[in-house]
Amino acid sequence: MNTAGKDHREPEWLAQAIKGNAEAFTNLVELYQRPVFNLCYRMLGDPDEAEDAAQETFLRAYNGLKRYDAQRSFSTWLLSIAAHFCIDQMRRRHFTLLSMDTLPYLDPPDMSPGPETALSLGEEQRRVRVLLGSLNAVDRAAVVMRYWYELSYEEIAESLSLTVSAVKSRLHRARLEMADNWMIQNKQLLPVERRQHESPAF
Amino acid sequence: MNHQPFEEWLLADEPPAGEQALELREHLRDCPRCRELEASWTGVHKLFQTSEQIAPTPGFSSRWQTRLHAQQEQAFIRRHHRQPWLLFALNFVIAAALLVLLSLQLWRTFHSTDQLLLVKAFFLSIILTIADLSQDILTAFIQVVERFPVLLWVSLLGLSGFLGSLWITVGRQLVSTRRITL
Repeated sequence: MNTAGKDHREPEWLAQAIKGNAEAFTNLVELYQRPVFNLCYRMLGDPDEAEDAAQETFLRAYNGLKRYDAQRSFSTWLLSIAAHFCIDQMRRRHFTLLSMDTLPYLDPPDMSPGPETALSLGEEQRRVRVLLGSLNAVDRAAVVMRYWYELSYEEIAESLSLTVSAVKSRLHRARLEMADNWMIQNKQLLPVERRQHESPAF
Repeated sequence: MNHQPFEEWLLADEPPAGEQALELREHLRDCPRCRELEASWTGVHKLFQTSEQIAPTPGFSSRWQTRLHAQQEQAFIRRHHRQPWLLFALNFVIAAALLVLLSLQLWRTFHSTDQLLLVKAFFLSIILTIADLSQDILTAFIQVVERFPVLLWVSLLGLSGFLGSLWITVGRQLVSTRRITL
């Protein structure tokens, strides 16, 4: 899995954290903050909510460490907690009828591009957000786990409490929806681009 | 035209191989809808591949530690607030248990009320009998005394006065401290 920060001391920290060592767990927080935050951000589309969800994920993981099955990958377990928390948040939020388009978005903070690159990265993030925003909570979690963490169908199924065939069918449906959405976005962008390239009328 | 298998091949993780690949290529030549789908999905896929993981703002782990401490503090306060209630509940349970025991005892007592009443009635009848006998004795004594003459009454009063003063004098002599003179 692409968690961008595997450390050989992870098993040691995990063992100490299970014994109740909060410092050791803080090392795990350091190690996994990025993948967990990224999942929350991709799911919720708002940096503040993502921060809150990621913090809550680590708290739940810390409090539930005794239930952690050592046979399972720790990162997948963490992502599973984060995904379930975000799904619940989205379901709750659904009642407030909040549109994803009205939410602010976060530029990648650890990249330091020039102004043009920053603009294109911002546009890229916006497009990702709009694409994911067209999916329901569980489909979105499956897509994020598949494309940002390269989890297998089995791992996604285990994390989201689904069957493998349900994951496959959800991913297929999500891809189709996102492809349709991409088409619509391109059609909307085309007239704007044309207008930008036209000569100004004096 | 049935697009179903072509859609599935286009959106699959791995591109189709062999005969399926040929079939798909032929279908794409004739079907603008599936061509559009292929282009769109390729665009989405490329976007996902180039989109990096987003990191939280710096200081995430220290914010987490602060949050953990706050949560632990809250848990401590909750426990602290719960203790008096637990004590109250314990007392309540003990009181309830005692009440049950007392009720059982009372129930047993109420169950033998007849015996209790019989005993009380027996004692009452004895008291009444004694009172009746005392009244008879007193009546008989008064009837005898009525027949005595006045002189006998005066003599009896004088005798009883003398005996009474004698008893008091003897008593005082016995109780008072002796004075020893050498």
